[in-house]
Amino acid sequence: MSAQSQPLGGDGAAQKACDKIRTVLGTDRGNEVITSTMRAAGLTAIDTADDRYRFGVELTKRGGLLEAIGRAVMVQALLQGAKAA
Amino acid sequence: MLNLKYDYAGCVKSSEKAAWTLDEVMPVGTRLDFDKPFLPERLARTSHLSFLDDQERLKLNHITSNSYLNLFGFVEEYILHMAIQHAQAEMFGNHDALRALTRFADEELKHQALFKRYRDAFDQGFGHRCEVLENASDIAGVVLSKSPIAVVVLTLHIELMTQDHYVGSVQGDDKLDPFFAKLLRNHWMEESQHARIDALELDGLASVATAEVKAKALEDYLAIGGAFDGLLKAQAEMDVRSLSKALSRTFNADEVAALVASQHQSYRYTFLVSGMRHGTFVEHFTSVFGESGAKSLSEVAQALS
Repeated sequence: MSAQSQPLGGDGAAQKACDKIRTVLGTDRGNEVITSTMRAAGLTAIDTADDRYRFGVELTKRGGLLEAIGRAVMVQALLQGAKAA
Repeated sequence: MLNLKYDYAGCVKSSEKAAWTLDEVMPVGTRLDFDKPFLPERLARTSHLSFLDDQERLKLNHITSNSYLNLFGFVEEYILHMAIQHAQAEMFGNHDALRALTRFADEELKHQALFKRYRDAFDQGFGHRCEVLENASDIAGVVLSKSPIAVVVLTLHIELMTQDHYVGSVQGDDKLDPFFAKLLRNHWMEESQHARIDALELDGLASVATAEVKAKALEDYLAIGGAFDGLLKAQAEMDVRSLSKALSRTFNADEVAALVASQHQSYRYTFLVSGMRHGTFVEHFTSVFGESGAKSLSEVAQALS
């Protein structure tokens, strides 16, 4: 599934999480990272705050700037009701 | 959902316009004038205490004012953490929101520094060290462990209540100490921007929250209010001990009970009821929690009055 067509959730929150990555890495590289991170997190879609949290956790494992983005995604997911596993 | 007529960029602009420095408002070495009351009667509520004379009521007003600012410093501890947490969530996202939230955090730190400077001047000029609540970090931890929506709602309550205090009873009251009135004015100017940021944050969180998340947030907000009421009672008891020490006067059991009840009631009105009944707060609260949530809010405010 390509990152552009992923069902990222109807509330726009998942879109915002992915936009953070695209803003920093650019669209093409950002989409690659989104797709591979979703795969590594075992996600086929990002529909809920818990999904966004898992996505953020997986991003933080990549270190560097992606780790920082992952933390921002995790905090946003927690504020929006995700439960930290 | 909240139908707000402003955005983060506008909040940043207004914040830049309203900004002040600590030294402009309270230069180091400022001495307080203890000849006038600091807080208006609507908040301090001492006039009905018939067993105190005018000078004793004035002392109590000063003690209450000191506790009042300490209580603000107290809640601003958790608000600071909240602002930083929300700013972190916006990293690499909306830059206007990030700017608004980081300014918000910086201003809260500045307010804490202002209140500390005030308390040092108060301790020097008043002549006795008054007892105040001191475990702000512990309380911040408890508040932040609650639902994020409840935390933002509580913060909105506090920011709007600050506006009510200044606009509703300090502004234009020439019987009050002009320095203290200026301090509250500057505090209010920035808090009114914070209230807008709170509303924007609340709108963002509530728009993606499930009914279950909102129900938990409502429960948490009301529970925090109940816990805070316990702290207000503890502060009321401290105030009475401080007054007794400052006046070198021993109160009998009935007088102590009357003073504690009066102080507790004035803090309840000041910190809980005036926020819960603020028109904008009720409006946003109803948008998030519906009519049944607003009914619970109204019942709690009534019970605390």
